[in-house]
Amino acid sequence: MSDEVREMIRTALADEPASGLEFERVVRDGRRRRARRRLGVLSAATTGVAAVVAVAVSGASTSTSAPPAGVLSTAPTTTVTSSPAVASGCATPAMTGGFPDRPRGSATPGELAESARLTEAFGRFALPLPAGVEATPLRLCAIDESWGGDFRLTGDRVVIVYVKPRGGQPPGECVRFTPQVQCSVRVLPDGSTARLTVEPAGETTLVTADVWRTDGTYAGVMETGGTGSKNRVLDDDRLIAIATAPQLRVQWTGRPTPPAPSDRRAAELDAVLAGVLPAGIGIEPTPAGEALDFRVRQGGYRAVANLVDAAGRGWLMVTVDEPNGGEVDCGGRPECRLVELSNGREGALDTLTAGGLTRLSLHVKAADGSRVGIHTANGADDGTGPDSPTRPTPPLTEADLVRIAELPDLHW
Amino acid sequence: MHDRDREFRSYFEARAAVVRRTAFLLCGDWHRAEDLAQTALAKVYVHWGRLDRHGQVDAYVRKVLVRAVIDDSRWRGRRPETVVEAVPEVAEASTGVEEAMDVRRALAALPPRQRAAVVLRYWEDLPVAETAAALGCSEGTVKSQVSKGLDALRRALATRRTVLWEGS
Repeated sequence: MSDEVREMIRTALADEPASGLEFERVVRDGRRRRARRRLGVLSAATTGVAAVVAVAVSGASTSTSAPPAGVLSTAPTTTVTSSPAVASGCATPAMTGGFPDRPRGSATPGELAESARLTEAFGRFALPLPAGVEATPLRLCAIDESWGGDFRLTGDRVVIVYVKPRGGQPPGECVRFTPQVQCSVRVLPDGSTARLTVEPAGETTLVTADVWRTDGTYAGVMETGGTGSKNRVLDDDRLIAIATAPQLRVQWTGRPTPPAPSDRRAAELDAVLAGVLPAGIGIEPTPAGEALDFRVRQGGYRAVANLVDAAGRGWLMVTVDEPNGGEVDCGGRPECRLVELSNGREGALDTLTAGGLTRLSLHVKAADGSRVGIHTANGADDGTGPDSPTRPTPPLTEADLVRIAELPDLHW
Repeated sequence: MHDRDREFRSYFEARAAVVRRTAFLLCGDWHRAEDLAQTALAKVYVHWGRLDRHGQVDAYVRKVLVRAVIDDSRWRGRRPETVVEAVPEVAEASTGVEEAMDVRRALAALPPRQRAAVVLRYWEDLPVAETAAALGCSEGTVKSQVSKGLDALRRALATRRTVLWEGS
């Protein structure tokens, strides 16, 4: 029967259109994801897929960030018509990685207008390039009440620019994702705060200037490059000059923005978790060296460890993500049920069992709206996550997870 | 070109079209399928060294696709609309386009997990255990989902003039 079913399914592909998948575009997307991932600012795992409602943009564009024609446009909601000489608004395609926000794939007329305005304004900015270096044009496309794009520099380097309303966010502090990361914070003459982060190790040199500007804009400018690209083209002052360009001032009223994650807050969260494990359970570092110490990962805080007791080795992960509204619920998942916490809040407890591996996951909202996740499994992380059972049951019980979730200081 | 890119290019050239087709069968829209495939492949590029070393590239791609499609259906709280590129001429029913649309409609009518179970088992030809791993559920659940999915497909396509398969 399987061949017949397969043939039946094959008929669904009868009018398969030509593919728009391009190796270079995939690699570019992948590099951006890697860069952002390593600097810990990629939005949490892009599991969701926004509806692909692309914005048809007419007019020529030479920007590397422009969506390829014909790839995404299924149901245009807004059409911006312009002459090639005038910058037109654009929306970043839904699945594009590399920005702190997940692109919606669509844009409101207001976002498109701001995209056009920012692009045109930045086109008038005199890029502070070293002699002999050339840059491609930058097009700042709408992401999600934020705007971003990239341009290429001579020397296999790419500069990613991202701007959004600051939303009252306090200046960020340093985050050292690896011991090699160099980070410094400086206050600029106009009172803006700039954070410079350089990661010289790895396959390419990454450098980012984040500036919390006094004019109400947050701007992030990252220079990265292809594999093996170690030589920076833009020095610190040039990156900051771009991030502070008046032309990048966002004219948009943004949502209130919580503080950016920092090593300092991660250390505070370590203290919150100290002593929380039941007696008799020990901590064993994972192959990545994580031993239940919070680290800034993908825009939030994450603490992971293998746990050991008489029954064997298991796994624990605690995550804290920034407040973002919404409520905890089971969303119709059959493996989920709501549990009540002693402080009147509710949590969603998922119990997944497959192939002998049992994983308990409790999601709650902290009092400040932070999203807290506590996960335990009866498999240890031996390099690829807990993917096979190493003991009969998870090392922590539902009651243990609830107790951790109720810690009053476990929040953003 | 660096080794990483060269190795990944080999994989891309061999598998990109397959990934795109599977994505289409999971979501029912070629544009979304291309987005899904692009994202899955870009994620593969991010983790290339580890995935390639452990021989887990295809399994990882399938997980990314399935998770994205299922999460999408949860997020929007309704079944995604199926977009077709062209409405076939009635007189050209024998071209296969009409048949394709019938099968797409039948697939699209399945709940996302059932659809994924059927596609992975019968299109990707995965064993039950690997289908379960991609879906994050037990093997028993896979068998149940496949059975229900095939039954629903059979009923949906029963009114067609062509009997696509017999037995179960």
